[in-house]
Amino acid sequence: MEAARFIGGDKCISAIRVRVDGIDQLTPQAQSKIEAVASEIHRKTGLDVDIMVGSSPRPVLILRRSDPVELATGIPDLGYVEEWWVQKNVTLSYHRRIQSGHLLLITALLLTGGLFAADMAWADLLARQRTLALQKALGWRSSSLMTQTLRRALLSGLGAGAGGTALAASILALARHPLPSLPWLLGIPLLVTALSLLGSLYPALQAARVLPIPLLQMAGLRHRARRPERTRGRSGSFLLPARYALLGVARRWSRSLLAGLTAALAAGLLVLLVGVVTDRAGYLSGTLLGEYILVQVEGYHWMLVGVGLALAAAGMGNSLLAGVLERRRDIGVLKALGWRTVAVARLFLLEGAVLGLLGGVAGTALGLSVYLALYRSVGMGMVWALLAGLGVPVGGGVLAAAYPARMAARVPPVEALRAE
Amino acid sequence: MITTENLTKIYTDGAPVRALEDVTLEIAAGEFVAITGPSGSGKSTLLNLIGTLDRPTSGRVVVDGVDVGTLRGNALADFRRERIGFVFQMFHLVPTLTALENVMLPLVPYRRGLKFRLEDRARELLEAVGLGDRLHHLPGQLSGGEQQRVAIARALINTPKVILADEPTGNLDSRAGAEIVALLRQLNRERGVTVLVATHNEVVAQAADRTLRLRDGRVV
Repeated sequence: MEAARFIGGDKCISAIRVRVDGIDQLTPQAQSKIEAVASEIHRKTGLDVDIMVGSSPRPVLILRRSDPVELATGIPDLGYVEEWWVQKNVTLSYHRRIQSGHLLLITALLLTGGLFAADMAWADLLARQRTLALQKALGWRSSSLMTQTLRRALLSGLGAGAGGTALAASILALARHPLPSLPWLLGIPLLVTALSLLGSLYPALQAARVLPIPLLQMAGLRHRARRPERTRGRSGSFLLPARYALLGVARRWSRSLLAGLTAALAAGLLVLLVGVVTDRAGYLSGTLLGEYILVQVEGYHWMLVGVGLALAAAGMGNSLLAGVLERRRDIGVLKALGWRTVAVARLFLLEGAVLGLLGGVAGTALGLSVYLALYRSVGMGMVWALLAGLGVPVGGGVLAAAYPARMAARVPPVEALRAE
Repeated sequence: MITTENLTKIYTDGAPVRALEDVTLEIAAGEFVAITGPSGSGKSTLLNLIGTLDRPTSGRVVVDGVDVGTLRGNALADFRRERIGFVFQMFHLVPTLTALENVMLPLVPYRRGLKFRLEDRARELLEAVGLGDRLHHLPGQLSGGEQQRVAIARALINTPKVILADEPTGNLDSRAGAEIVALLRQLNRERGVTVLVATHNEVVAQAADRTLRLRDGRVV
C-alpha cells in the first residue's frame, strides 16, 4: 500500500494483485490459507478482495493514466486501452481450461510418441521377417509369433519408459526442482509401455500372417513396382532423381505414412503455435471439441513441439534407413555404373526432403484447420506459420536423411553382384 | 586394351579363399573374348577386378592405358562411368524406373556436361537393341531377354571402351540367350567395343574370337 501510494499518489489505485506465497496446488488447505490472507487484507485496509487461481488473462478495457514521471515529462493520459487482464470470479473454470489446453498439447505429443512406437515395431518386423518365416517353417504357431512380437514391444516400452522417466527425474533433480509424486513416477513408464504395445498391435498381426515359403526363397524384400503401365508425358532426365525419391517413399508407403504422420503432427503444432504467437499475442484461446481452451504459449510448449519434431526426424531417419538397406543392390548398381559417392548421397537426401515435405504439407493443413476452427480468420503472421510448417519438416527430413545417405554412399559397388 | 599382371585375389572373410591366382593376360582392343570355367573358378572375380568393382590382393590391372590400382574414390567412379559398361546375370535394372530411365541412369547426375541429349541417346540405344516399342515399360513388364537388352543399352550409354558381361545368358532360356549373344557380337563388330563375357554356355564361347579357360583361379 505504501509503495502504491508512493508511485500513484492517493486516489489512483484501481487494483492490486497479491500473490500468496507457497500456494502451488488447489487444495482445501490452500483455499483456507488464501481466505485467511484475504480477510486480513480486507480487515486492515478496507479494500475489496477477490480470490483467483492462475493468471490467465483476457482482454479488458482500462483507463490508462500517465504516472507522475510521465506527467512531469509532458506525456498526457493515454486514454482507454485494451489490456490482457485476469477476470474476476471465474478462477476455477479458468484453471480447468488451462488444464484442458495443456492436455491437448500433451495428447498430441503422446500421439506422436505412439506413432513412433508403431514405426519402430514395424521396422523391427521387417528386419525379422526372414527369421519369422523360418520359425513358421519350423512349426511355430501364428499366435506364438504374435505374442513374441508383443513381448518385444512390452520390453522395449518398459525399457524406454523407465529410462525416460529416470532421465527426466535426474534432470529435475539436477535443476533442484521437486520430483513428481511416486504414482506419476510409476505411471509414466506404464503409459509408455501401453503406447508401445498399442503401436505394435498391427505389426504383431502381420507377424502372425508371415508365410514360411515365399520369404525363405526371397533374398530380401520384394521389389514391387507401384506405377502405372505407361508414364504420361515426357520422362526427362531432369526430374528422374525427384521421381526416384518419390517412388522410394511410395514403395515403403506404410512406413512412410507413419513417419510422415509423426512429422505432420509436429508440423501442425508448430503452425498453430507460430500462428498464435505472431497473430494472437501468444494466447491460444477458443473452443475446440466443445471445450473452452486458454493457454499462454510458453517455452515449454515449444519444447513439446521440439520433442515432437525430434521424434518425427528419428522416425523419418528410420524409414529412410530401411529404404537404403532394402535397396543396397540398386545402390551397388549405381556405384558400378559410375555414380560418384556424392551423387548417391544426394539422391537419398532428396528422398528425405520429399518425405519431410509430404509430412509438412499434411501437418500445415492440419495446423491451419485447427487454427481456423479456433479463430475463423488468419492474420499476416500465418505466412510465417506456413513457412515454418513446410520448411521445418523438409529441413528435418534432410537432416534425418544424413545418416541413411551416408550409409548409401558407402555401399560398395560389388554389392550389385552379391549372390542371391 | 586390357592387361592383367600376376593378378591374385584372396577373400579373407571367413576361411581364406584363393579366388584368383597369378593371372596374367592381355586382351586387344576390339576383341570378343569368352572366359569359361566351372562355377567358383574365378570368372566373376576376374571381371570384378577388371571392372574396378573390387580390389586385387596383389597384381596389376591396366585398362585402356590406365593402371586402375592407382585410382581412388571419385576417380574410380569416373573411370567406370567413362570407360566400362556392365551387363549382369541378374540384369539389375531399377524396378521402379522405365526402360528409358534405366538406360539414362548412369549419366543422370552428370547430364550437364554432355554434348548430346541424354534422353535422345537412350531412345536410340533402345531402338538399336530392338526395344523401340518398349521405352516406357517397367522391368517387371518385360521378358528376361528384353530386360537384358535394356541392360545392354544401359551399358552402351557412355560409349564404353569395354563391355564386361558376367553370365549375361545365365538367367535366360536358350533362344533369348542366343539373341543376346548375337546382339553383343553385333555391337562388338559395329561399334568396335571390346567385349569380355564370363559364361558357362558353350554357345557363347563358340561365338567368341578367343576363349580363356579358368580352373581354380588359374588360366589353363
